[in-house]
Amino acid sequence: MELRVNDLLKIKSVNDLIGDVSEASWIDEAIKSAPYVVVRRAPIMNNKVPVGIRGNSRSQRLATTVLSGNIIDIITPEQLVVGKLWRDNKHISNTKMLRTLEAVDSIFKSYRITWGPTGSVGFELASGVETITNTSDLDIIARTPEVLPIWIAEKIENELLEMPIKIDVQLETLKGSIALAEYARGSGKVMLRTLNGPMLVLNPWSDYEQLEG
Amino acid sequence: MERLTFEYAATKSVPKRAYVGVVGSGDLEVLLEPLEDKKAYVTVRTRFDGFEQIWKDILDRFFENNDIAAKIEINDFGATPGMVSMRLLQALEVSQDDKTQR
Repeated sequence: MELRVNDLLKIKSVNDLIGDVSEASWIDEAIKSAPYVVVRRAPIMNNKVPVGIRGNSRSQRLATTVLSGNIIDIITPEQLVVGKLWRDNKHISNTKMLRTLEAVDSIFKSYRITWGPTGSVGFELASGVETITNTSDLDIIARTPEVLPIWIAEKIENELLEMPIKIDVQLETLKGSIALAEYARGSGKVMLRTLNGPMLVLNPWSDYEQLEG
Repeated sequence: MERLTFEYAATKSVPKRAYVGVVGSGDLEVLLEPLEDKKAYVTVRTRFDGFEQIWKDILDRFFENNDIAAKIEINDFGATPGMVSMRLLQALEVSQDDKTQR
C-alpha cells in the first residue's frame, strides 16, 4: 500500500487516531460526520501515518497519526478527477467552482499532466460532506515526476489566473512539492516542501543539491 | 483575521527590496524593504488567529541572527514555523543578491 501526501484515508472511528484527541470536542464530531483524514507531508514511522483532521472552521485543524492497519480506504486526489465526481455533486452544481473544475481539467489534460483537487474541494468530493463555501479557493496538486520546463509552467499559471476562483497548485516532483506560482516566475530558487520540512533549491527535480542544504 | 506588529533595533542595512513566497495554503508572502532608520518593523497579516507568541519567537530568532534595518510585510496563509523561517532567509538572500531576482 503506497500512501502519498494529500491522499484521503477513510477510518472507522476517532479511536483509530493515535494520541489524546479528547481535548478538542470538535474532532469526534468531525470524524463522525466524515470519517476521512488527509495524509500530511511528514515521514511514516512504525506504520504510523501522519494525518490531518479537518473540522468546520479554519482553526479546527489537528495533526495526528493513524496506524496504517486501521485504514479502510484510500482516495487519491487524481481519483476524484478520473470520475469527474464534481458533476454528481449537487451542492456545487451551477456554481463557479463547478465551471472552474471543468476548465482546470481541460487545461491539465491539454498538457497531459495528471492533477487532482485537495483542500476543501477534495475533501467534499471524497466524503460527500458539504465543505466548500463561496469563498473557498481551489487547492490542487499536479503530478510532475519529470522536469516541467519553466515556460510551460508559466503558460499553465497564466491560464489558471483567468479562472474566477483562486487556484493554488502544488507541483509534486519525486522530491517533494513546489508552488506552481513560484516556479513559474523563473527567478532562481524555489521552496521545496519535503517530508522533512521545507528547503530552498534551484532544481526541485534533482537530488544532489539538497545535500548542500 | 489578525494583524500583528513587531519592532526590533537594527544595525545592518540591506541593499535592495525583495519579494518572495506565494499566496497559497501553507505558504506566505514576504516583502522586505530597506530602511534608513536603525530599526526593523514587521507586520504580519494572518487569517489564523491566536499564534502571536509563535510569530514573536520566529521573528526574535531571525533578528537575533540578522539584525537588518528593514520594513517587512508578511501575508500568511497558514505556513508552518519552518516555512516562515525559510521564507525570511530567502527574502534576506534575495535582498542581498542581484542575480536571485529579476
